[in-house]
Amino acid sequence: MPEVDFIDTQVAREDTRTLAEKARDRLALGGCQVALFAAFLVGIALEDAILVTGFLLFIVAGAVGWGRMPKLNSWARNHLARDKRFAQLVLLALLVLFPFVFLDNPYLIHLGALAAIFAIMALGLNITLGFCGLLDVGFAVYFAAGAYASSQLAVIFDVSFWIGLPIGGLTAAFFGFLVAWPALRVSDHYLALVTLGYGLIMNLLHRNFTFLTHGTDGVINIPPPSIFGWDFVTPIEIGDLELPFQMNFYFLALIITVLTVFVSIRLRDSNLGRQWEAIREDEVAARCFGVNVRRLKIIAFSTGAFFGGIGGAVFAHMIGFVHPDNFVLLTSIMILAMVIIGGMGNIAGVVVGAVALTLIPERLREFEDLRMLLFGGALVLIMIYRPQGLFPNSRRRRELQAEKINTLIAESGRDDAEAPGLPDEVKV
Amino acid sequence: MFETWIQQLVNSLTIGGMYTLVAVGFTLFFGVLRLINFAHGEVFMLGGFTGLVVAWLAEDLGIESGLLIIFLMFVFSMAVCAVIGALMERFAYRPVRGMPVLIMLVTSLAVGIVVREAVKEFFPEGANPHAFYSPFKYDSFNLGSVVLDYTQIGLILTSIVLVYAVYLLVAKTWVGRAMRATSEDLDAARMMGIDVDIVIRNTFFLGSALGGVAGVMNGLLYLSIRFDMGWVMAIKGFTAAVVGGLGNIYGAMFGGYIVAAVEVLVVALIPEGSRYKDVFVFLLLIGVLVFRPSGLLRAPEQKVG
Amino acid sequence: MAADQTAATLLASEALTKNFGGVLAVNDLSLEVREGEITAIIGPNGSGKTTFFNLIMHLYDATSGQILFGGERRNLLDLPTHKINAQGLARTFQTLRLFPNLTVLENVLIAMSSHVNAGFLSALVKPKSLRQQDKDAEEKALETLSMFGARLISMCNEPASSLSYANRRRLEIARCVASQPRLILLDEPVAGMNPTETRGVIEDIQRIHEKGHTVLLIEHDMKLVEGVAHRVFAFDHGTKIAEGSFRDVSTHPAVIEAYLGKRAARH
Repeated sequence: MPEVDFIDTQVAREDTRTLAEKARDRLALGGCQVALFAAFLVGIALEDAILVTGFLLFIVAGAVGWGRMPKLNSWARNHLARDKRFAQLVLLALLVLFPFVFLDNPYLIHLGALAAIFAIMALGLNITLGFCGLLDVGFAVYFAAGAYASSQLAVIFDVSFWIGLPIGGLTAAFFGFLVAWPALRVSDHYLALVTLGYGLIMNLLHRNFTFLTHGTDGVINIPPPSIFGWDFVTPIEIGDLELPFQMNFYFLALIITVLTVFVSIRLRDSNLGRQWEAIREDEVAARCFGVNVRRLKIIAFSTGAFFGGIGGAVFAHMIGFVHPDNFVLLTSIMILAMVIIGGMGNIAGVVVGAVALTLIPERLREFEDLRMLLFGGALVLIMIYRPQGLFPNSRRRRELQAEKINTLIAESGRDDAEAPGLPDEVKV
Repeated sequence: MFETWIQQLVNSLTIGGMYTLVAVGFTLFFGVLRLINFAHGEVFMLGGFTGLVVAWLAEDLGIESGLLIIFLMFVFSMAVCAVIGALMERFAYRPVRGMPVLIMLVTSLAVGIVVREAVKEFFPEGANPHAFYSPFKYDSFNLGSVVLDYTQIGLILTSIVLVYAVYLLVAKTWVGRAMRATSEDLDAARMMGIDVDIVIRNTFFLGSALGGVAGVMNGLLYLSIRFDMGWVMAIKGFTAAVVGGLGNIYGAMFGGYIVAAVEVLVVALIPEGSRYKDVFVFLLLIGVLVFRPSGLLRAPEQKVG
Repeated sequence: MAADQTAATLLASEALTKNFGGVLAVNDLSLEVREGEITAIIGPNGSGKTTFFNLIMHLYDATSGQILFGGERRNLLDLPTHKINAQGLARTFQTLRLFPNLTVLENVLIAMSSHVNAGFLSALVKPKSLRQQDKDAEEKALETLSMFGARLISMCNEPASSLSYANRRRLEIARCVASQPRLILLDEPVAGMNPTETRGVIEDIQRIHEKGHTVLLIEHDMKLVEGVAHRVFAFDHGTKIAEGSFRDVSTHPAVIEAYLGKRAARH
């Protein structure tokens, strides 16, 4: 029966590779990863504006070329799928290695930490928007909530960062919960307008509720996190080698990012994640099949906001200064763009989007204010030519029990008796 | 006390007229494209800057009549904004027409960024506020004990005339009929032989031109313009459009006056109100969206699905 | 096809009225659907058939009246939509409403798992019991899909949007069956299908029925109604104008009038 073959190709097969084949595959995969990472390092280390521009054009050309080479695509995808764990470990190792490459350029390590912080927030928005399909154009609200809550706790009440961090997250989650109530009653454009208005209101309150936020003076002198009396701005010394203190923040942010990725994956693959996706796809049908849309939307808003707050808390304690200008509409648009450019719902894509949108503008500092113009123009072009993002979220195929399916097909020979070639399939 | 209230009324009519002109654009665009054109605020800003350039040129050319200069400012900013709006539609919004809300939304936000940053970078001293030319800024007359500003009265009349002209255009002409038909149902309009592309282009011409007028009015009234003033106006404008019912052209015509009245009342009645007037406008926006999504004019619709 | 006269009432609509801003979409509608039967609703467009389904799922609030379900006669209009499926009702939609980017299998899994509360913590911790539960659900879902032979199951890992039109209709039915409802509501199951496909759907409906599901369907295709329905309700202007076997209803003067206009009925 032809269908049986067809099924077979979809089902994760037992790994039948010999040890040598496995080693060869992994070497190739790891090699590619290292090469890409090296290119990335070169890219962010470039200072000269022309070189940066050239590098970006090179990336764009590469991305376009990549899209035109389906064979290479599927090769990469197959290798990644087969050696997923291995690839993850290599990536993690490279990320750990990253700051050691730039020991003499702590600013780049600082940028790395910033990129990780934005990745945390973008992953948060990805839960609300990517998983559940809820348009939130006011994400800066949660960023602000986390930043203000944890920093003011530390400044006024001398509360440790490690307590302030979860409180910041929970405060932000509460703000997500707050907007969920009106947001439940509207959708699409109206939801976008409601969240946008929410973001604007909150930003005005940041400026005017001076007793909470110090208004436009900002919160200053936010202490860095510390562990057992050692604080994060003290460099670690190994023998003669003094590691820049930016590294401490980098690893802090990296660890939280990895945790956020883990939580995102778990949520996505759970019952909860599937129901979120059902809501995103067709809310009415979801309700008719028992999905408690109200509850799940509230969870989506709050969970997404929580990570926004976590990112905000880390941000506040790293930068040491929080100002209402950090939480304007443009910030929300930036985080939104990270999610969309990466590919909504695709966890790895969103992280890449966050890293790219944090680093590229920084590297374009030579262009001064033109970079916002370039950002806007690039965003328009991306919306027109690649609205699904760099890494569109394809369906994750489940690993199914092949035998079970084949038996079920074999048992039900009924339909195969129908004459082939009937005008059965009306494609819409 | 009575004089202050009259003064407040005049204020709200002036800014209300401005908001209305902007709101008509929002509602027209939403009608034909199902797009909230966030870049529309930047078109408004561009209108102001065009007016300023016209004033500079008029000075160079030795034109002295204030009225003539104001007239030229209106005409040129309408023309420039109409063209810019149509270009936006052609090159940014047409390619994403019919795409998911999110894509259209981000596109319009990005287009807004491009326009704003372009003015900031390429206009001479673009990042700084510019003094606007306003020939009659100190002229006023007394009506009993009430002091009335010529500029304000002029602006109120201008906006009323323009809004009425738009009403006639939309209600009575075939251009307007095509627009309304497209708003109602784009596919049906297409099947009836209406060239939807042309209708949408015309809509952008019209809406953006009105935005440009509002930009000049804003300059004449506040005497100063900045590259980043579009965004605030955008919010007021779409709030006004939402209050009137997004897509409802007639609703937008008075939505602007309602928003203006709310602002003026908040400033007048609440201590430190001027700091919070925008908060109330946004609350109005959210409140209407949540409780009366079809606008304050129409009865709330049945919840479907 | 003798309908069992002693069968219990599964669903009863009592004096149900739905007023859409002055338009009475459903007007004082009373009817009873008996357990174990296949019941069809016919009627011209705009006669309130789909509105009736939407009221059953409580997608609309009724203006007045009630819809009672099961032996305990619970009023469905007192329940939020998402709790109705768990009572034992599932429906298809006239305009297909699958989850297009979810896989075929996931579409079915949604229907099976959604009244099991999707816990936040258990999603993070992923305890062993949950894994087993997931595996069992998956197996059951596959079995449900196999009711259409290889057609759906061979596509089980593909997004629903990649299915052909007919197969999408089948998936909608499979999704209903998967939630193990007592009553399945089918809204024009053969709309847009050719005669061969329609014959297939008739078989499918009969198979669902044999499995013990009561079926209530809306259909314009009289061949199908004649072929499967034990009992037929005819609707016009939001109310029931005739009831009985297909033959009785199809020859009822009021029904002919509703379909063909007054003059045809007189002649």
